[in-house]
Amino acid sequence: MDALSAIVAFLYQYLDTIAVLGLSAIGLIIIFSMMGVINMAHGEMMMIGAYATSFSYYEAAIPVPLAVLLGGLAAGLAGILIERLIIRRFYGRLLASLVATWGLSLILSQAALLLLGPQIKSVPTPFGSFAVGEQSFAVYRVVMFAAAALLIAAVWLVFSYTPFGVKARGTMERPEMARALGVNTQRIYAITFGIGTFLGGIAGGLFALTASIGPFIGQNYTAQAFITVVVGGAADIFTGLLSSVLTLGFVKTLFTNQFNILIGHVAMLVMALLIIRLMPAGISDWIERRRQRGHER
Amino acid sequence: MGRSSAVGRRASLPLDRIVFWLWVALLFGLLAVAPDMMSRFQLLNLSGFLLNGFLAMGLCLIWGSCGILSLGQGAFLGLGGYAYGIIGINLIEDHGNTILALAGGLAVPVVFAAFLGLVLFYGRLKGVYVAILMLVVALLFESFLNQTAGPGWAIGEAHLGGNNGLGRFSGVMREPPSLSFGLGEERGLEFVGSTRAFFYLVSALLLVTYLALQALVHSRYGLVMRAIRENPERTESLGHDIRLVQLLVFCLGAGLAAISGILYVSWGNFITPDVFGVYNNILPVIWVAVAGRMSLTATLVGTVFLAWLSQRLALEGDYALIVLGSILVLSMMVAPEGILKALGDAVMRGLRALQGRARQGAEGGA
Amino acid sequence: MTAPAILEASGITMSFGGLKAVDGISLGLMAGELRCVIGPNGAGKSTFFKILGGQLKPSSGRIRFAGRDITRAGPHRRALLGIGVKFQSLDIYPGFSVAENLMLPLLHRGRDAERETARLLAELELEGSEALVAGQLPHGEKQRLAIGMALALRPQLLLLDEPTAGMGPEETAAIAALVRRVNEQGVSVMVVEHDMAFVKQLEAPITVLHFGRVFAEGSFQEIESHKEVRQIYLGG
Repeated sequence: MDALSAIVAFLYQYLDTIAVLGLSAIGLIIIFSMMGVINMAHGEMMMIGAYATSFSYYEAAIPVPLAVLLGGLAAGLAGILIERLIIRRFYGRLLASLVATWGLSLILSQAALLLLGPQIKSVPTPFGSFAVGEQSFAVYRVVMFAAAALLIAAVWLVFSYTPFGVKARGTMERPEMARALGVNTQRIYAITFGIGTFLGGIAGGLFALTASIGPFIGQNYTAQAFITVVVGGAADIFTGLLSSVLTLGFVKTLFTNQFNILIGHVAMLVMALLIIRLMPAGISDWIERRRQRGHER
Repeated sequence: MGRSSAVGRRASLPLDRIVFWLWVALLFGLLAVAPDMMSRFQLLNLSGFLLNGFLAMGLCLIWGSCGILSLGQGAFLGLGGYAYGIIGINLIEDHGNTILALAGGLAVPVVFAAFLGLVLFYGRLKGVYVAILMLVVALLFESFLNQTAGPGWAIGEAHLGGNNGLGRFSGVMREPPSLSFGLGEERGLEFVGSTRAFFYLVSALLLVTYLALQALVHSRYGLVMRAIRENPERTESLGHDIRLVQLLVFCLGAGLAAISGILYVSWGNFITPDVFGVYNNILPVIWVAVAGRMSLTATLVGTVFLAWLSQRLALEGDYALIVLGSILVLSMMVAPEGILKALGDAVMRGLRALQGRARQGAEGGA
Repeated sequence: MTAPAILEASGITMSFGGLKAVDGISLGLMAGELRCVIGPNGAGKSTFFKILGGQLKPSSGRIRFAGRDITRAGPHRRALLGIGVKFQSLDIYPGFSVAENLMLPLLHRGRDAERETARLLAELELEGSEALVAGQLPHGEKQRLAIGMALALRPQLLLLDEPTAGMGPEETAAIAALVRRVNEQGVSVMVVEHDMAFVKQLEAPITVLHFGRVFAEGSFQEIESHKEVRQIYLGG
């Protein structure tokens, strides 16, 4: 294998890792940054997305892109319901919300197992493959990367420029102030939670096209998503997610390439521990501080 | 929370004391006569429930007393179990080195906890981060051990056995031995999982540990732990190195989980990577949260009851975990400090009211 | 003969959110001195206070305490070296008994602790309350307890952030008397305050902070008649 194709292969893997990390973490990090809540049932939101995608594809013959979108909507609705019924009672009690959502994750995954069995029909991966030199690559992986990039950009636009985004950021920084200015913070939280789980559902739908679909499809991604969120921190959704995904994705790709996927995950965790030892509140918080210091000079 | 505990010379109310010792006598009295009232199989099961008590009390200590939630206590249980099993397979049968296996089973997880604690607490990490990173650590151990199936993955005589783990299911010759003291013919003391000897060993250890932890949480160190839980910054400004205290408490919790791990392996003579998995990490959280994380007593009773309940439910059908999950969510919503704790507090309030009325009556009569 | 400096803060700067909350403050305190630090809202008082207590690490500048560089020392080290702190927020453990609250800083003392508790309860005029749950004390007593917890460290330097916040005139006077009594016993005290009535009762030299800088220094009378100070308080 010549140097060029090695580089192409590495880049392909890197992009793929970025896509997987970004997609699995984006909903989680939005909810965490905005509400301080780590949604332990995020994996189950992905699961709901995957199941809904598969059902709409097979039962209603809906084309794949639309089916994935429906997967997202299903998870988004589930999220709003969960927020209204459960999360709402745990605001300001972070560890309690962690435990409660973990219980929910257990209920949802086990219910899916009981009702629908250990596996449902998987959706075939679309688009086929392309070749560079002697190696062939799946087109879908590139599409997934594009989807991840698109979603991250969309989140950035929504939170930076829409009236909802302005209210949401206000609520995040100063909830009392926002309330005093007439923002319905309860609704902001519910919508934010819905957006977070919607993105989890989309991720689940996209992953469903590459993997066998079972009750634990989402749980395969949550450990990585947690690491990504911890490293990114809560100070800024966009910089946090981006910096964390790029750094961890690189480490994971490098070590997976050199050794195996397990070493890749261990390397990611070790990297995460190193990073938080230096920046306890995550990269986004650290960047925020640098930027502020820069302003003063 | 409102009730203050004994510190220094100020002993708690005598009523508290009396109820406490009556309670201990009742609980452990029941355990003392239990073997006479059940079959060997039931006894084996009861031993299995009881040995979780150390894990649960460890979580109760770090979370309930000190405010450190860990979603990955299974990591320490598993490390302890594997370390004991691996050393035991190599040394107990042939050399009678049970002490070494025990020491290894305790030391490996505690040293690992100290290493993690240096990063987590000295890095002043947020509580939620500590909680989920611990889960990630446990799950990574599960993935690691699941791929150790090949013959290359052996330490001396101990084959790691991939997802079959150490023990009879892996089809290799040796399984982790029971705790035993003495060698060969003179192996005077052997604690096989299904025996009364093992049951009494676990009960006695549990009693000693429970009393020691009660003494700890009601001591001045317990006061510092609770202070850290309530307000870490203030505790620091009063001259306490909270990072060190958190680290030590975390290591103690890991050591308690390790005891459960060692007992578990010597009880069933096997251990698989499942002990590091999601369920074995969420179960202790369910026990402690539902029972009452602020109370060792509630935790101990709740753990044994819930462990029994989940086994019962598992026999009935596949919905055991759904029921446990629902119990967890509901109890977090209805009784955030734990159901048994709430019940216990209500009983104590009732007793105190009775005591007060009795006293008034006595004064009125005099 | 001049008394040795107990506290020397030099060039302390701290930036947040694009602006310098504390901008090069240099301030010294002689051993045995009582000093008030005042300033309008947002002057950087509380940030400066937290830097002295070790809760925040300054972006730049150095702090020396009793001749020793403590810039990098954590809060618990400072407490053990002899700096007692009471923050602006209510600084007690509301769920603990009064005795437990006082016990926490006394745990380093070993056998003395019980005699100390009794002495402190008398000093704080809280005798007989030791078994009460601290959260149920009246506001003024909570504040006294919080100060008492800092005193229990037997500090050489006592740092108080708004010790009379939310108090009536009587309670304020009681705190002022307590602070002066402690100071007369030889403890250096720095009070960060908002309430000018309280500052007046302390009869101590005053440092005025404004926009994160030392704006003026002087006695109460000098500061009271200082034109610009009046302006930043009234016209700011």
